[in-house]
This record gives sequence, C-alpha cells and structure tokens, in this order.
Amino acid sequence: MKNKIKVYRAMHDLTQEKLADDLSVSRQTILAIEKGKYDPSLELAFKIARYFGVTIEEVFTYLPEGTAE
Amino acid sequence: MNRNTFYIVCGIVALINVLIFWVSVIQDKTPIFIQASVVLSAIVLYIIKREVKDPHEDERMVQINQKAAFRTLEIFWIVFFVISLGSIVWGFDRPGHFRENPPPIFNPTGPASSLPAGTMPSEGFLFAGNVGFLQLFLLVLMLFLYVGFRFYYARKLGEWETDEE
Repeated sequence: MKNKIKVYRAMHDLTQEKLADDLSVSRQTILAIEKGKYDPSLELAFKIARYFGVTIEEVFTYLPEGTAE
Repeated sequence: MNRNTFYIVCGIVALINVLIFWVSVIQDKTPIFIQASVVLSAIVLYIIKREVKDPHEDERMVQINQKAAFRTLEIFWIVFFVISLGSIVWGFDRPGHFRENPPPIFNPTGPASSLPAGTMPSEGFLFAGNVGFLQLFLLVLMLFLYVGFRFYYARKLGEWETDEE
C-alpha cells in the first residue's frame, strides 16, 4: 500500500512526533507507515485521513502485491 | 506508573521468587511456598500492569507481539510434541506396559523381587523432579523463540527504521 502521509505532513508543516502524538501512536509507527513497512488498520487510516481533512483514498492507494507503481 | 517502573517491580518480584525457591529447595523441601508465591506474583504483576500507561504501545506493537506469539506457538508445539512422544516411548518401555515383566530375581536371603533396580518409575527418567527440569528447559526454549521472533517482526515492521527528520 502506498501513501502520501509525508506529503500531507509537509503541507501542514507537521513533524512525525506531533502527528504521532495527535493520533495516539508512536513516532516509529508513523515512520513505518510512511516507509511502507507497516499497513495501518482501517481505523488508523481513517484517523489519518480525517486528521488532514481528506478522504482515505487521497492518502492511501492500494497496490496489489507484485503490482508495479 | 510508567513502563520502566513496572520492569523494576518485575525484577524485584523475580528476586523474591528466586529467594523463596532457594529456601524451598534448601530448607523446607516442600514446593507449596514457591508455587503459591509464583501464582501470587503473577496476579500482583497483572494488577500492576493494568496501571502502566505506555504511550508507545499502539496497534503496530500489538501486531508485532501477536505475530511473534503465533510463530512461537507454531514452532513450540512441534518441539513439545516431539519431546512428549519420546517420553511416551520411554514411558511405555516398562514392565506393565509394552515390556514384559522380567523374571523374578532369586534372592536366597529374602523374598523374590520382580523388578530389578532402575526399572521403577520413581527411579527412572520419569521421576517427577526430572520432568520439572525438562519442562523448565521447554519454557526457556519458548522464551528464546519468542524473543527471536519478536526481534524479527519488530525489524520487519520498521521498529529500528531511521529517518532524515
């Protein structure tokens, strides 16, 4: 799964720490999501999208395994 | 209470249990105190753990723990099954199971004995104390497996990733 959290963070001038605190997760979790190492739960994905005031599809893009970008 | 304080309490409780274990082995020769102590410790630590506020425990950590526990169980049950199977083979290889009773040993000064030394359950490998050592070995193995898988999944799910930020 691809995501644009880093882009939205930059647009809102947010650090990973601040975003993590606001979403009640660890900074490592935000970092792992940004790097594509961890796919968040549906609940956390909605929280992130809602935090930036956009729809979930605007932040996350589903790529089936083996699909090239 | 933060997580570090909780770990310190765990250490103190563990030390107390080691002390009680030592006293049980050396002086009392009864297992009831150490058994009661371990059960009580588990209850106390469970109650204390509920008070721990950990800002770092989120869904990713839960997933890491779940995956590590599941993999540990997957491997552990095979090891446990193999060892249990071996023990059963030994257990059945005794008079009264699948091995015939040995002929009575002639003893000119007393009654005939039908079981030579070393074949009574209390003298063989299945003596309760030895089973305890085996079980402890399996528990330690389980712990090592869990820690190994915990590291593996933590690394896989980005625990030690670094960022330019």
